[in-house]
Amino acid sequence: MENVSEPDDVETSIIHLPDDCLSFIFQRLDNLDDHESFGLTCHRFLNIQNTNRRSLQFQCSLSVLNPSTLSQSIPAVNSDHLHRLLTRFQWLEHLSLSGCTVLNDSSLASLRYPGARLLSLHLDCCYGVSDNGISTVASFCPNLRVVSLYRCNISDIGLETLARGSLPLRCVNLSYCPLVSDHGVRALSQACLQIESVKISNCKSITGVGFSGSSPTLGYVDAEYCCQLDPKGVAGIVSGGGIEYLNISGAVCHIRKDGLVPIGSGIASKLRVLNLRMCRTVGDESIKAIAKGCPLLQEWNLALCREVRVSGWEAVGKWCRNLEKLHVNRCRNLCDQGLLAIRSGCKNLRILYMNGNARLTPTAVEMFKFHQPKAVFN
Amino acid sequence: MSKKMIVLKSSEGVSFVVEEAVARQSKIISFLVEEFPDRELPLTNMTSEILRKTIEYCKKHVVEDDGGGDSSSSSSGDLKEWDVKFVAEIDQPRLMDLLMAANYLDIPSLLDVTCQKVADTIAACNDEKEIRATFNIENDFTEEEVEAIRMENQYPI
Repeated sequence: MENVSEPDDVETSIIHLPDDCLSFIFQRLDNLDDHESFGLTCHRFLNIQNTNRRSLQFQCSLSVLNPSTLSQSIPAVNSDHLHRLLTRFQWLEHLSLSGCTVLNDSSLASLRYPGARLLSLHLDCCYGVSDNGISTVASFCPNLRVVSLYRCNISDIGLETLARGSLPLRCVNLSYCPLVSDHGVRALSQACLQIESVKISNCKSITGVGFSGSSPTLGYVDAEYCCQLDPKGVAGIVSGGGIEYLNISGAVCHIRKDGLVPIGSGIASKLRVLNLRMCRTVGDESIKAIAKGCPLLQEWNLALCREVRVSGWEAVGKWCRNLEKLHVNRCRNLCDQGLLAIRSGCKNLRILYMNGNARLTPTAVEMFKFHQPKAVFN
Repeated sequence: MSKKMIVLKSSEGVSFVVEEAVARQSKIISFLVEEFPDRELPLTNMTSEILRKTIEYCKKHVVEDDGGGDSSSSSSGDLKEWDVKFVAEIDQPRLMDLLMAANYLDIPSLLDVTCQKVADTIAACNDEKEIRATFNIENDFTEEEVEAIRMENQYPI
């Protein structure tokens, strides 16, 4: 009975390990060089490397600065490269093509390989990607949660296609997409019932009404420099009732003194961060309503809000008990009495950003420092 | 208090009598013990040598829940050190056997230390040639294939 069919003469080697064990080993290699050497060992190892890759981005993605590679000139990623990489790495969940400016609509056909596995896609500065490309994205990637289209060449038509694809989108970035209007935003916000965050900064034709009736999951809206934003639009943005972060800085044209009263109507009672920087025409009526209607506010940027006067500052002091950061830089109408109101009311204030407040006397500032020594001036 | 013992049988038919708590670190054995109490468990794909090693590891890692007298429970730092020594003393073929045993028996912590040891060995190699030499792997790529892969590798970060 001894040694019958015992494979003792063949010693166990790494190639006898099943693929799942090789994957466990691969996952414990923590740098890219090791990943590459591993993959170049043999076909089977290459396959392990390929199937283990979950995210992919490129030097040109503008999000990672790697000084050692700045001097190297790596050829721009074109359709062919993308095709080869996506056929190789079919298990990707996160893909950033940001900064791959050579790509166009037809390049995105390669998205069929990661397809339904893809959860996030960044196309920032893919100037050649237009509505047709977005249609490809919508059909190949039904499980996308995050899509970033900063400076893409898309219009309402593309957004409607995205909306029709009923993707489970959570975060959408449409900054600097000048062709997008309220129409596209409406299609998106009606279709995406799990949407959490939308960036529309510098979209010059959006008034905001497209957000009316959006999902209560919508908690973050960045609408910086949306110069067509109007009171009805702002009311639309907060209408879901879930808003926690709102940036409408630089919305100068159509917001009058009482234009932001809707924010304080109670619907935005979860608001924690509000940026009204450069809303130069916003007046005390709006400030009073917001201070009263948004009791959870922790950070409020009122820099350059020149029309906020004593009764506005008094409302801030009276109602904003949770305020930790307040920006009052160059608020022309912040006077000693206003600062006193802030000092006596906002007991949780940690940082006060202030400069260029011509109407404040040095005495008032010193008194503030004396009574609120924990608050830092910036 | 007498501890419940179970019997594990290696591929050579050698029986090992082990405390149940020790053996139950394997999720598979834990399951089998519940399904077939009071029965010898044959582990036909494990040699006596590897089974002995596996049991040695499990004995060291068993959690003493009776908190009893003389068992000087090892601190987690000591245990880590012991693990490192444990895998350092094993030659490569045996390490692979042990890794497969940990995978087969579903003992996550043993799988972790053995995989880490292999990964460390790979990471210590300078390039794919050294990996092939270290693990005796045949190169089945053509020059052209290697060139194409290298070209692709320069893009992603």
